[in-house]
Amino acid sequence: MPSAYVSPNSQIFLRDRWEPILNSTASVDVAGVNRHGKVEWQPIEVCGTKRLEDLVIVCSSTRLGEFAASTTLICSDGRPVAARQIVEGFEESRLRFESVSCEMHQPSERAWASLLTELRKRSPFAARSKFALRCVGGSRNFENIKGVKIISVRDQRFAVLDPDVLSRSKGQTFSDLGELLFGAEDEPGVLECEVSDSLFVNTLVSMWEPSIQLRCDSLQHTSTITVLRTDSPSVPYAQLRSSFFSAFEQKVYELHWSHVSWKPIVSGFLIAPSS
Amino acid sequence: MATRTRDHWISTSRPISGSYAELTFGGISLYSSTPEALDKYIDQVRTATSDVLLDHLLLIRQVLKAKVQENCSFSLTDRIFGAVLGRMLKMGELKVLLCLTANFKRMRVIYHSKNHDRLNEIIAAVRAKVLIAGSVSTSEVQASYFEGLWAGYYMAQQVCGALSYRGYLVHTDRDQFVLPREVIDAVGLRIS
Repeated sequence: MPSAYVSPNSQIFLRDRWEPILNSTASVDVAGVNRHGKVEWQPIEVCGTKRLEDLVIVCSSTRLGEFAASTTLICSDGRPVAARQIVEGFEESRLRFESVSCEMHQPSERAWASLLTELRKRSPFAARSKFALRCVGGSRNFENIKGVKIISVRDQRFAVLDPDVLSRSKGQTFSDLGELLFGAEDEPGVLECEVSDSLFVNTLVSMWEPSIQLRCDSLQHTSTITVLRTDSPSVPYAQLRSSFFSAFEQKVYELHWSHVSWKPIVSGFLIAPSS
Repeated sequence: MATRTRDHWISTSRPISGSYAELTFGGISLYSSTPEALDKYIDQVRTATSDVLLDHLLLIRQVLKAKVQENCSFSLTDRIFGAVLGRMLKMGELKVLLCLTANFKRMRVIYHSKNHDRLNEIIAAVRAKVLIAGSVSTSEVQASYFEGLWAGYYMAQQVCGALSYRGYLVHTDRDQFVLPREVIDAVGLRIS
C-alpha cells in the first residue's frame, strides 16, 4: 500500500476546503491526481506517528507548503525530489513543481474561522469577544471599518477587532482591513511565518489576492515573510521561491492510500509515495 | 573582492583565469582555488558564527560579523558573510527575532536555534512581570537576565523591543516600556 510521511501542518484538499492534516479524521476523502492527470478524490488513512523529522517550507508560485524532510514532491518534469534535497541541494531555482490549484471561489466559513484563529494567536491581548492587533502600517483613518476601533497609545496604534469583522468586510472595507493588517503599498508589513503558519499564509493570500504579494526578507531564506501591497495583479508567491528548514523537529503523520497510480495533493503540491 | 591567505583565497567574483571551485548560496556565488579550500573557508565562518551565537544570545548582523571576523583567519567581506549567514538561516541553524525600535522601525536580531527555548523563557518572564508591574525598563531586564554579560544592555533592549513588536508593550522612551492599558480595557481583558 503506498504511503508517505507528511508534516502535521500540511494541508489536504477535501471536497470543499483545505484542512490541516492534524485536524483530519483517520479516514478521509482527499483530492489527488490519477494516472491520466485528472483530479480525483480517493480515501486515505491518516495516522500520527512518533517519528521526529525536520520540517521544510517549500513555495511554488501558487502555494506555500510545509513538508516533512522525507516527503517526495513531484516536479513539473515528472522528476521526484525529496523536500530535504530541495533545501540542501543547490538547484532550487531550476525546480518547478507540479502544483495543482484547488482554490475555493468563495472563502468558506472554515477559511474565515482559520484566519480569525491565526490572527487571535498573534494578538497580544484577546478576550472572548474581541482581540487587538498592533497596526503595522498605513497612515489612513480606519475608523470607517465597522467592527474596528483604533486606539493610539504613545504614538502606537492598535486595532481592536470584533470577531465577526472579517466575515462582514467586503469591497473597499476589506481592502482597508488588509492595509491595517499588512501595511500600505509604501509601508509593507511583515509576517513571521512560523512552523504552523502555512495555512495562515495561504488563507491570507487566497483572500487578499491579487492585492498582496509575499517575499522573503533581505537576509535571505529566513522564516520572516514581507507582505507587499500591490495594485497590479501578480503571482502572490513570485518573490518567495526559497525553501528553508524550520528550526525544529516535529512528529510527522503518515498517509496511506490504496491506488498505486494515484498521488495525493498535499498543500497544493503533488507528492509521491515513499520508496 | 578576493580574500587571500598564502596559496588559497575566497572571493565573490569569478576569477578571470585559472581553475576554481564555485558554490552558490542564495544569490551569491563564492569562489575559491579548490573545493577543499572553499569548504574550509565556509566551515570556518559557519563554525565561528555558530560559536559566537551560542555565547551571545542575541546579536545584530553587524556586531555578529565583527565577532565572527575575530575568529576568522582571513578578511571576511560582507558578501561572504551574508552568503554563509543566509545559508545558516535557510538550514534552520539560526533564527531571526523581530524587534521594534524606539523610532518604530523594525530591527532583525539573530540568535541560535539552540537558544530558542531560553530566549522564549526570558520573553515570557518579562511579559509576565510587565502584566503585574505595568511597566519595565531596559535596565531592569538587564539586571534580571543579562547581568554582567557582554552587550547585555542591548540584549535587554531587544527583548523589550520584541515584546513591543508583538504589541505587548509600547515605548515611552528608548529604555522605558509600558503596558498599553487602553488596549487591554478596550478588549475587555481582566488582568489581576
